[in-house]
Amino acid sequence: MLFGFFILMVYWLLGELITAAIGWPVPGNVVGLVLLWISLTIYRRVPEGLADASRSLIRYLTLLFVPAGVGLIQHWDRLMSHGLWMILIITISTVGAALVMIGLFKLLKAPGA
Amino acid sequence: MIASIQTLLAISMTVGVYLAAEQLYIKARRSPLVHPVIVSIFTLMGAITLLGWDYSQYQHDTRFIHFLLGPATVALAVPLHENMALIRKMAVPLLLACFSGALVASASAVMLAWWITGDDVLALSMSAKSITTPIAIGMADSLGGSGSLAAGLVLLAGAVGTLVLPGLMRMCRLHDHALYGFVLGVTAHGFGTAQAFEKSITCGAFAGLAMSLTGVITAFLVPPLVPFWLL
Repeated sequence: MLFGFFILMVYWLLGELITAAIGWPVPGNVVGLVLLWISLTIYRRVPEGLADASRSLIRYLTLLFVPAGVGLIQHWDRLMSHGLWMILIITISTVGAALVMIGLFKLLKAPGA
Repeated sequence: MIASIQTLLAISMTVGVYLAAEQLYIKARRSPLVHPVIVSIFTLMGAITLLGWDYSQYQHDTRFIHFLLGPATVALAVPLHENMALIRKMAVPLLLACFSGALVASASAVMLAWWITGDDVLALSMSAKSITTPIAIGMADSLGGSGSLAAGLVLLAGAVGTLVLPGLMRMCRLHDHALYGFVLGVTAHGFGTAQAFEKSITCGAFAGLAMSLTGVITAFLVPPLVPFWLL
């Protein structure tokens, strides 16, 4: 478990170092995710401690973004003035993206489409 | 003292409200409208307003919870690695669909928000609206949008997706559980994945895979493209 947490912190650190070095606006933790994913693909199995640590963190992932979500309070005026537009834009964009994907599946004759 | 009373109070309150919201969600048979994150966020917004705290103080006090988003995001590599085996049989259509779906979901939201409202913080935060919250917060912040606003838009996209997509897929006659789950995961992240698991294990596994892939692809591909969408 502690070993798993150590691995996650080291990969996060590596990710932050890389984004800081090349100045690319990709979050360092996502770069860490990709580095760990590549490592696991090469190593071919997930060390037990890492599996435990990941499971515990992901189990409570939704709690972890509550503090950031409460920050919506700072955008109250925005929600009041553009709230309905936000819902409309999100609906159009979600339907558009889903239609493009369904179209691609049918076009490429994916099994099951 | 290791931590101030204010800090301990803020953390206990956040965890306590979340646990109660989780119970409510189970009692309401997992309806996305009472998702624990939505209920917790609005309850805590009310609580800090009543207590007269300002958000920056609350943010400072709960930074230990927020900090864990870092390792938790890296940890998403584990299920992603375990689920990658699923796509071997039809890697080309799935990866193509994921790239196009992720790009359309992000670009259309940014451009529409920019043209309609002219609000650049909103438009930049919209770029992350279809991806899983931990990645969305970091991406919106590093783009010059707002992580908190992105978190709200992600929740909204999840709720809209779970309401609109089942009907749309029925209309388009997409019944295959793997493909159905994949579309839900790309467009409605964790909300879609939870809904997909109610359909079947296969459907949920493909949704979870699609959610992680979309988060990674969007975080790498979208930031360099966003300036072109804000013309």
